[in-house]
Amino acid sequence: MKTAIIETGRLHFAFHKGQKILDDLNLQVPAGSIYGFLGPNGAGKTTTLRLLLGLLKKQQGDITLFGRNFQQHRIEILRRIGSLIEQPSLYLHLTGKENLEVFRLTYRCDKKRINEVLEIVGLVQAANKKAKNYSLGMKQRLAIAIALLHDPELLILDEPTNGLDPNGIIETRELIKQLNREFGKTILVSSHMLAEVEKMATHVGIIHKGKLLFQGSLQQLQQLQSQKSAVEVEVNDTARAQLAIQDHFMVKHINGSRVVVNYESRERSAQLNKLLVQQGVEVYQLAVTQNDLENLFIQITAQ
Amino acid sequence: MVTSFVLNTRSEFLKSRQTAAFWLTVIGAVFIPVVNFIKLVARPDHFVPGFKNDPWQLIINDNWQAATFFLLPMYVILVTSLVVQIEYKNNTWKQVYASPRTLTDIFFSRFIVIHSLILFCFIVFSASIVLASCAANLIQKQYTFFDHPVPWKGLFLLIAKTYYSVLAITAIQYWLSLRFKNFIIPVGIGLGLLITGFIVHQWEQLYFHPYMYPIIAFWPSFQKNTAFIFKAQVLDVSWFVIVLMMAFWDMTRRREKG
Repeated sequence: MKTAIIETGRLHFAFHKGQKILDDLNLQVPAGSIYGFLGPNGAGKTTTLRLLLGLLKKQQGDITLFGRNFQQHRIEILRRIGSLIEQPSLYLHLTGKENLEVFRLTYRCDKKRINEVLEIVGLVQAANKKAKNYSLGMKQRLAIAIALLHDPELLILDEPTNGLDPNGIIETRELIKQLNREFGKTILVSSHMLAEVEKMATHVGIIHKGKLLFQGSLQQLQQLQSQKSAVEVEVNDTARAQLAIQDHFMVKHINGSRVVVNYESRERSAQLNKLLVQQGVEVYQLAVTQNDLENLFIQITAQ
Repeated sequence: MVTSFVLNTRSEFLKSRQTAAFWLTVIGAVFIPVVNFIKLVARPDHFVPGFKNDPWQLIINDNWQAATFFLLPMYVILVTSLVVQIEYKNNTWKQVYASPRTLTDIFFSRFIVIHSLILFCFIVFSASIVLASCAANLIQKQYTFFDHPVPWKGLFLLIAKTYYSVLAITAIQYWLSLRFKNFIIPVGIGLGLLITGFIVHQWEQLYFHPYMYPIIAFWPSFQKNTAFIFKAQVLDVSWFVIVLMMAFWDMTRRREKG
């Protein structure tokens, strides 16, 4: 793994005593990666990101960004980060350009940078429109433009596609990929949609009930997914079907008129079908179970 | 560090452009002079005799006394909350805290904006008194405003005195506005304290009440007792410093920011 830009060591957090929000979280975000931080709502994603930005006071554990302790080098670290936490933070009574000017003064960057970031996010035409008249997708893009203003090395984006229409989701995803590919940004992006993360991330961390259940490259996750996948076959006679395949496949369980076996490969699925048909079992349906996040969670937590 | 603070204060000024806080400042500043203008134009028969000898001093006192009684403290309460509300309303506190700014910078740059708006209000108010009186004189020629010089020095001293008298209120309201997300709470508490002051206005130790300092500074009945006014002035600045320090300490210790 490349050098980690973000590292947390044994991070714990609770809003109320006894109610753990984060439990021994060891996050490692490699430099140059798009790190998809996956988890259902309430898993602790936003809490983690808020801790990384100092929006929540750390209780236990270590937070290191760019190899430096956050508490001791807060300003220096924040200068190298662009962030978007939850809904876009915009001054709705100001225009897009004025919003950028507010943050340009803080980040002390050149005036021409405003037009550059507006171009990157495709908002040049709407630059002089008040932010309150922007659509949600435009607001999201303006918030990303603010995050990009000082040309940070690291972007922390919390559910940037939340509430967007399919077009907006695709645009934002493409923008994230472009920022990583063309501008070399390391991007930590949280999401509750596995399919979304799969389409853009190079690395994935899965958090559930405050615990990091999986962390690794996308390939490693895909491997795990295929290991955990199952094939469901709907048949007329489950007992006969079980007998027909027992020497070749491990039956996981019977679910009504369906026999569930471990997924191995496409070829093996075809072989399974062939075996059943040859033994006179009627096959109505054969499908690889959808590996959505929920299923993956159940499988990983059951480990 | 100083450059950063100056730039961030500029950024805070930009945020307050065309907000309710800004418009309240402008409209609040011209409101009483406009009412007095109507009064002067509508009833010259009543006002001309009284304004014969020293018209400026009289009209200035009329305006300032009317303002300090209720509108001025009310304006300070509202403007402080409205400036802080810019962040709450737009859900932007998190972006402010996640930017490379020290907590001291975040705390004081906004406080400077509030004080600048208050000073701006006093200056516009004073200018409006002069303009409204001149305009009334143009319509009703019997007035003698043009025959007397405008007491600029006196006006400047009035602004300074009024500004000093609201210091304690600004610190208390700033703390309350930072503490509560809901706009109604700091405004409600401020209003409650102001009304409490009116109820206990005969209290011999009224100089302890921070919301009464503008009234103590201007109301004629208090002017005879210099020791009382002095106590009020010392306590005003004490409230200001102590509450401001407590507000800052409270902000730095908050577990959740933004």
